[in-house]
Amino acid sequence: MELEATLTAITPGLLRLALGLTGNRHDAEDLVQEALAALVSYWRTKGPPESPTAFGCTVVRRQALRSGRRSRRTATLDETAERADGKPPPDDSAFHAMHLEHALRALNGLEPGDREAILLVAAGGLKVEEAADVLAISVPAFKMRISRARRRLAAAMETDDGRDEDERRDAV
Amino acid sequence: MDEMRTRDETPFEVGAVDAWLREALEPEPDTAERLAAGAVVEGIRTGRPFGAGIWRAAAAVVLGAALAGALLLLRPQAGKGPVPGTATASLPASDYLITNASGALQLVRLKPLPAPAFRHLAPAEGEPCTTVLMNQGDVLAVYDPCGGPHVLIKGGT
Repeated sequence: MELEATLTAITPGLLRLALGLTGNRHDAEDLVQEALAALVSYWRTKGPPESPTAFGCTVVRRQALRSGRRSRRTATLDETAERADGKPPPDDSAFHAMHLEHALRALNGLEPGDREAILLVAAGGLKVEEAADVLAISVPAFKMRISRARRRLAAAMETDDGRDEDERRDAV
Repeated sequence: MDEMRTRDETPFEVGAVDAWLREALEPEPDTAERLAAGAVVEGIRTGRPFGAGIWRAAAAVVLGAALAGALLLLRPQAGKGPVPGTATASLPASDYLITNASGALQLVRLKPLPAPAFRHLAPAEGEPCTTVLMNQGDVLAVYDPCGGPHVLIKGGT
């Protein structure tokens, strides 16, 4: 396993996870930088960890919890709804952009535990077993948590859908 | 497809939502690359077996002396290109940071190179590391393989 190739491969997922946890791109970059430095340090002294992705996700999550950055996520939620390149979505992708914003809004409304479970798998790209390990819970417990989280996400998206529809109707 | 039904029977596709989340949280194009490269450099700086501060301080003193020596050796050779070194000794294959011709930092993997492109000086007595001069085009990089990059000198070849 090559260190550089591994870093390149896992960094996008770590950034997504960190952004999902913090809601702020600058804080997310800080967290990922810390996680990658920890990974490199570990790698050079003890060899590659069993799962570099899980290692990085663990550090990102721990740092996010420690720094309390998660508490600021709602205040900076709009930032995560922006496109990565900072440009407004073109007209023909307005529907698509609405879905992105919709999913993020619903995600940010979840309990922290549910939110973490979804982010570890969807954003961080972890397998169920790895995500369970990061959260220090059993695999069946994680499966239950993510299943419940997705049900809640679905309900939140549905509610959001209804609210959007009401707003559109009111506007007419 | 993993699919659930919400209260009004609207299909909720888990895979689709995961994909939306991934896209919505997608980092800026060069961010991941920049962070990954930075991590390697940071690892070179901090990942050596000098865990305690005193060892770091001691290493800094030794490396500083080695660099000062290297610079003294370089000075008389200014304008004449790289300093011819002694025969190649064993150097650890590892990652090193150099500046490229445009002045940007660049990560390189050190490999045995032909003599004209790669020369090094024998270590001074008692110095644990070999000071390396590496000629990369018009850039002469001076660094210590044990201590990572320290002095980066641009110069004609």
